[in-house]
Amino acid sequence: MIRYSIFLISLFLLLLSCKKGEISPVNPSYVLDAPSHFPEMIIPTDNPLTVMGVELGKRLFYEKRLSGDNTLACAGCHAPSESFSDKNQYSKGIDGHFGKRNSMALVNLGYQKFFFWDGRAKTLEEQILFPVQDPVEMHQSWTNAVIKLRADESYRNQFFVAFGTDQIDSTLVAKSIAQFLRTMVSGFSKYDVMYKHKYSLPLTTKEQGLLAQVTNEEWAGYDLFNSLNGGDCFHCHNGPLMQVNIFANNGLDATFSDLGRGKITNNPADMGHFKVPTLRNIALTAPYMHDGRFQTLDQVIEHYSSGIVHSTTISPLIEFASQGGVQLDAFEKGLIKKFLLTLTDEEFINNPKFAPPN
Amino acid sequence: MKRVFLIFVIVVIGFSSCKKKKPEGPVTPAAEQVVEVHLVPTLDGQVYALNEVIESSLGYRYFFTDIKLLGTDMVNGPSTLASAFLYNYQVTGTILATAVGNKSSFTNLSMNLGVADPLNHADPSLPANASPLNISNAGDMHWGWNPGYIFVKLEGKVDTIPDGIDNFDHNFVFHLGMDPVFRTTNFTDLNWTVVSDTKSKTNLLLQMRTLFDQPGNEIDLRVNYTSHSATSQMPLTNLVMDQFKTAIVKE
Repeated sequence: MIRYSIFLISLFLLLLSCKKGEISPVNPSYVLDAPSHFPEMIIPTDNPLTVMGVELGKRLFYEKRLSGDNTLACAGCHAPSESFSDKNQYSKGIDGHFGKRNSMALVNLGYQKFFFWDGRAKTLEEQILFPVQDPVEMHQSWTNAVIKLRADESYRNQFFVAFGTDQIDSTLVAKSIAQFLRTMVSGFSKYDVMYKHKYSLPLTTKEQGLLAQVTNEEWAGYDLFNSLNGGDCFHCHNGPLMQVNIFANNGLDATFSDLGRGKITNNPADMGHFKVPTLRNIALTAPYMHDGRFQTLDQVIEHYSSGIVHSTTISPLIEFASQGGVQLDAFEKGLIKKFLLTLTDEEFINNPKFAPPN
Repeated sequence: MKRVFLIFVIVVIGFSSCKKKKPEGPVTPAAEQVVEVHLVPTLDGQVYALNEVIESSLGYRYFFTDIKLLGTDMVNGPSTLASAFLYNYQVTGTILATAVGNKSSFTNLSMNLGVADPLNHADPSLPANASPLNISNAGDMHWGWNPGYIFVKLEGKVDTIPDGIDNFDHNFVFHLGMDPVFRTTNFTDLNWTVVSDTKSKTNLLLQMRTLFDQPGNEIDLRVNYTSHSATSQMPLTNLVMDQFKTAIVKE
């Protein structure tokens, strides 16, 4: 009798303990290691950073099966050693076709407000959907890509832990890669400590050590970079991100074979405008400009010094366009270059968190 | 034994019948009232569009490609409509500021054209994410080279060659900022228009001719085409800022 009652009560308690969603994978929030002088990253509420989401995103970023012939991953055109850009002028797709624009560096993407050189994607998640389907890039339908991933049990497990479902689809793939890309924050270069010093922001001991390594020539280059009558570079490249979120025509051509932003908006005033890129790790991201026409930083500096071409839509921020550029002498060009080299963030490039998974 | 079992079954049924209290019928909250303040660029009584050519009284032609304003403290006494606002005609059109509130609270308005010291020189990464003063939103309205915000940005092109051909061969750029350029402007008896059950708006007008082409105060863009508010440029900077302030009137 007593034994029977105990059995029933135990059964009852067991039933009570059963709740919906009893299997909840452990997936803690990912704590972003953002520099103190950066603005807060705005992360979509429907795609918060999680440890497992980021890990999955990293795996997918290096996943060649996202391409039609299983030979090309995102990292194929965004190499870590090149600040996640491509050293080739145009990236080569799986069918041997070349794109029409230089591959952009993937750095501090979580702070961007639009993506691609022409800004056609407004979110990182949206941007990620493009290259897989693009016939000149990875050339694979998302349907096929998802079939491949679903066939891999380890992916099904990872998606389940990251998102609570093993029903893999393109949206979840994009979300996880976006999570990974948002963790790729570059904010520890000589420039960063120069910026913080200039703003009287507190420096860590490590940063103070880096500040001590800044040379007089680098400081002079910084001043020249920010000088109205010097490099006049700051109009488009300043702040902790070393860019402003605008599109601009920087005086490359009188007429445009690539309409850039204008093709998206159909606004005549936007013709020949392209996204202003960050200068972070600029020494590593050659070639330069939307079409990769310049192979070296010297060529870039020369362009702004004496190679500006006037056109109907040239940005007013290119203030010395009417005289062909800012007219720097050789010494000044050298200083500007030395400053540009301070933007290299070795910790970012060599961060094992961003390296290919084992 | 049977009794125990019966009691147990009753208890189980009793527990299982317990459900969360269903919410009562939906309660419709009172709709929030929203007020919008617009700044509408006008040229000779018509709405001015960027890239629209203006014939100067001095005989040359020019047009604007960008008009931006970063302001603070749009208030009517103790009622704050916006603690900071960013006007970007190219991207967000005529909207100057919007807030939850009733138009009756804002019959008068004062606002700062710019950011007062010491906020003007504070770390731009610190304001809240949604604040126009956050560097993510202020963007090119913040100077990296000199801690502080650009208050007003006027950019465009001017045709300096009087040959009848529109080549607009020169840019003009006015980036007005620095503490001495900070201004406050006031408007009284604003005309509010009820747009819908929940929204009211008032228009301020930016009279474009007042900027550079004001009789007696003309600024010849062929000669005076740039200011970044450097010390040597302060006379021109102050003049443009004063005329910008004068150019804003209530509709």
